Amino acid sequence: MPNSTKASKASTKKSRKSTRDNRSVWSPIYWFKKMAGLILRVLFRPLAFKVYVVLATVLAAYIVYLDATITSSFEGKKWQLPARVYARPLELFEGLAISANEFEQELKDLGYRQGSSTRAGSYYRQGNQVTLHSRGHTFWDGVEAPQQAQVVFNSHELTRLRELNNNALPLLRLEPMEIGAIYPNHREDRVLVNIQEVPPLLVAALLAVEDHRFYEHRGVSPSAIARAAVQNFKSGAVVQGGSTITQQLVKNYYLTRDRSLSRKITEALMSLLLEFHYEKEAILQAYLNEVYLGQAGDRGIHGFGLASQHYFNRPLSELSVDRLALLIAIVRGPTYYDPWRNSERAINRRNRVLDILVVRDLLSSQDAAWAKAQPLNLGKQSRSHYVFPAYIDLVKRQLREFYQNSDLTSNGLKIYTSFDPRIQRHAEQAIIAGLKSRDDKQLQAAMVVTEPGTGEVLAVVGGSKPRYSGFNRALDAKRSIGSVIKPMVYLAALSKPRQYTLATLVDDGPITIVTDGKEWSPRNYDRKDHGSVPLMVAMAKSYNQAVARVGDDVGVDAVAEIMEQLGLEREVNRVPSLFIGATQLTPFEVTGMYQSIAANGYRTPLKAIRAVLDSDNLPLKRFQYQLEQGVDADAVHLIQRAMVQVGRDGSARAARRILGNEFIFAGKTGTSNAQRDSWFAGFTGDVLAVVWVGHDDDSPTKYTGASGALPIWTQLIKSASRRPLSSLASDEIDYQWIDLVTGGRSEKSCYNAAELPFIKGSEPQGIISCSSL
Amino acid sequence: MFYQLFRCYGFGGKKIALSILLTLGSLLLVSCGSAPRIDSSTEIEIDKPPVDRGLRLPPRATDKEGMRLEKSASAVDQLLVQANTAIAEKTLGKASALVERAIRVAPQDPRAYFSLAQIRYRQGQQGQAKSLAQRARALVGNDTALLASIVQFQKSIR
Repeated sequence: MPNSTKASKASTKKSRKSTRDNRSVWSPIYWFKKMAGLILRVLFRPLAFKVYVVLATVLAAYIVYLDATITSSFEGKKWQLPARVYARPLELFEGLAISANEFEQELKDLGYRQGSSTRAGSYYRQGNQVTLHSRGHTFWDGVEAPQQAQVVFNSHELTRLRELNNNALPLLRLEPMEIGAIYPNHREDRVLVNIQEVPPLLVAALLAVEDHRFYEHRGVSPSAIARAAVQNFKSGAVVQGGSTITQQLVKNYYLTRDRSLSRKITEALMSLLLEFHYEKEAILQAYLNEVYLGQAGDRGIHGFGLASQHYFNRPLSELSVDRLALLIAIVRGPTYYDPWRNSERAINRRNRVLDILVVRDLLSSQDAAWAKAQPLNLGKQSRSHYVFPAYIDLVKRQLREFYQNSDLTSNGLKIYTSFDPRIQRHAEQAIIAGLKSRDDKQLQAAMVVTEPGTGEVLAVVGGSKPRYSGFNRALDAKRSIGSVIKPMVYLAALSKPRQYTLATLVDDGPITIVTDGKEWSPRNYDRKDHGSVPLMVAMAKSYNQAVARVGDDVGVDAVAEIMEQLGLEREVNRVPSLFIGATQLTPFEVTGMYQSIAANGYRTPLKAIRAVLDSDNLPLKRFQYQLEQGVDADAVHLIQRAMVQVGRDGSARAARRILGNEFIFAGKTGTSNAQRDSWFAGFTGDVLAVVWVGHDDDSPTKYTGASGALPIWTQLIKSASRRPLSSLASDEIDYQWIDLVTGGRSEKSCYNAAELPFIKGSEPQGIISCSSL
Repeated sequence: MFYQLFRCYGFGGKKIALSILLTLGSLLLVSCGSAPRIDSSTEIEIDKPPVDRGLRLPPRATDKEGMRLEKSASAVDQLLVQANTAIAEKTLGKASALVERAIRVAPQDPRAYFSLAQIRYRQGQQGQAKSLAQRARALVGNDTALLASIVQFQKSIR
């Protein structure tokens, strides 16, 4: 810029000098110089000159600014990509507990086409036999290639898994279902595609319809603008745009949506600059990912990759001609041609696109005729994001410990979780059905489901309407836990095998504990005293007076320590009323403690995330399987046995009638004061679940743990659990026959005798014969 | 008297009680017959489930699951073989991920926990290695060869 100013000044001096030298009025040179002088004088009047300089500077600066804008944002990272959250991938192997129907549901959720299995993402089912062609996926431990396989089921499990040529196939991992994403504030969403991987017909069709001279123009097409202008003039309205693909990209990418002239000029300038800097392919690729193609709630659907998922629930590479044509049709106006709302308009526009393809020799007229005969073939619209808000909430919280919010909303991270859609569905149904059967519209519920061995969180339900986000009771409702605490009290006692065994008689008579001058006298739920009973019976029947006595003996500190060793991080009030659960915890915290009991005393932190990959599929973080011995495994084996008794002959025996005698589970009911809270926490061999039922305002309900939460728990276990509880006793455990009335060692043959585990050396001495009982 | 006897032994029919009586003779009568705990006129509540006489927490070996576990064994095998390859290639993160998959496929299979214990040891996580070996040992059942390897591993990392 400074150079040009100097040059202008120099030329001004020169022109004045030359005016003096050539005075002949007849010389053309004279007139030329005179006119030039006049123009220059006008132009370079001191004021006008300044304005000119300022304008030129501003324009040049503007161009430099536009250029910088383009080069800085077009190269490198172009878009803020939300982190995507995936469910667990389904691992297929012989013996997997899943029915053919459940398996088919999984395939449908993944958008598999039914009818054949010739292409990736399709399957064919005949009775209990399914042939499928998986899509393959890049996982943190390697690439799972697409695979064709034959799967056979019986009523409850996968019995046979083979390649199509009948070769053995020990394991097949399906791709994981996407269950949500973490968006930046402006909520633009996209799935990036590479132009090499996009179906060539899509690109060809896009150019044919939107900009067929794309490879000829330099960003702006004067002939297209002229044609559009003529068309618009003829019809008296804006019916045709003269925008090239480049201009559309600039408009979408950099500019607002208004239609002013200045914006048009900026658009043209930027288009020229963009074409000056970059190859056609790069511009096209950016367009494919940038273009706005629809709206899902407050989430903008950008790019063909996501649009394919959004409209058809399957990847771009699997789209048929009619579907590709529909996407091209939508480019012109995602709202106007919205296939869900304006289906007829969308079909007409799609068919027009197909016609253009025939004219441009991109499609045979037969294929076009076939495609035109197709309906819109849209996927399910309801499959929108955040349908599992409570679980996604947990994922976000666990991520926040390691990532900034901006990492999550912009770097395209892939979050792999242990979320199990099958279990989640069963959990939601159990809660909805369980609450529906009560005539209490205010009744709320929450549930956390985990895998008992590994501590992986399988499902979370945050309230009575599981698909609505809002107060996540599973994580945030701090409620009195009631008798759900009793296993912890007895565990503290059983950790001292010289003093306490399952057979130890405990006194359930009235008791008053005095602390700091304050008296506390708990009463049993049935307002009765039950005399002396073996510890296991006191636990199974949930006697308050007995547990208070045992708790008082072992001390409130020992109980609090057990809770801590089981993984509880919150500090509890160390007062005697803790023994009957007068402390407030969230369902998630209760789950954490029960998890450690289910895992034989190994503390396994509850985790929802398995791994995080960056946008290039490189592992960023693995949340590895951790375990730590918290409480002595043998003491835990004893309390597990007592918790089994809860379901055999205790407060949860209603569940036994539904699950059957053979289906062994362990658990504990809980009811807080005035039935404000109803709990059941329990586990089988493959599912651990904690259910809470109550009112948000903490007002009393009509339900106890057994009548409120237990039926919901039982329903979940009935539909989702396939493996009864099993637990291997260590060498330090001996089983002995015990009389359940006196707690004495008896003979196997005696009535009321049960076989109970003891830590070696703690079993009662001397067998009592049946006769003396 | 017969009635008292079979109630005392929890048997379901007089025929069985009679046969027991004939086989074992009067000795049993002395030990059992005289003082039944429940009055013979009292009926057991039908609603109330019978006491679980022989209920133990079933270990894996006697569980129905025993069969299913064997079926998944080839899946676990494949993952453990792949994990061993990864260990040989010094990609312990990948090995660990593969073994964790094996644990998910068969959460009761001691081999997977033992393998993970060895990986954690190589990763320098002594505490995890110990806990995992302990867990593997708890699940090992009657596989003496595996038990011996685990015990030896436990000794070596002590």
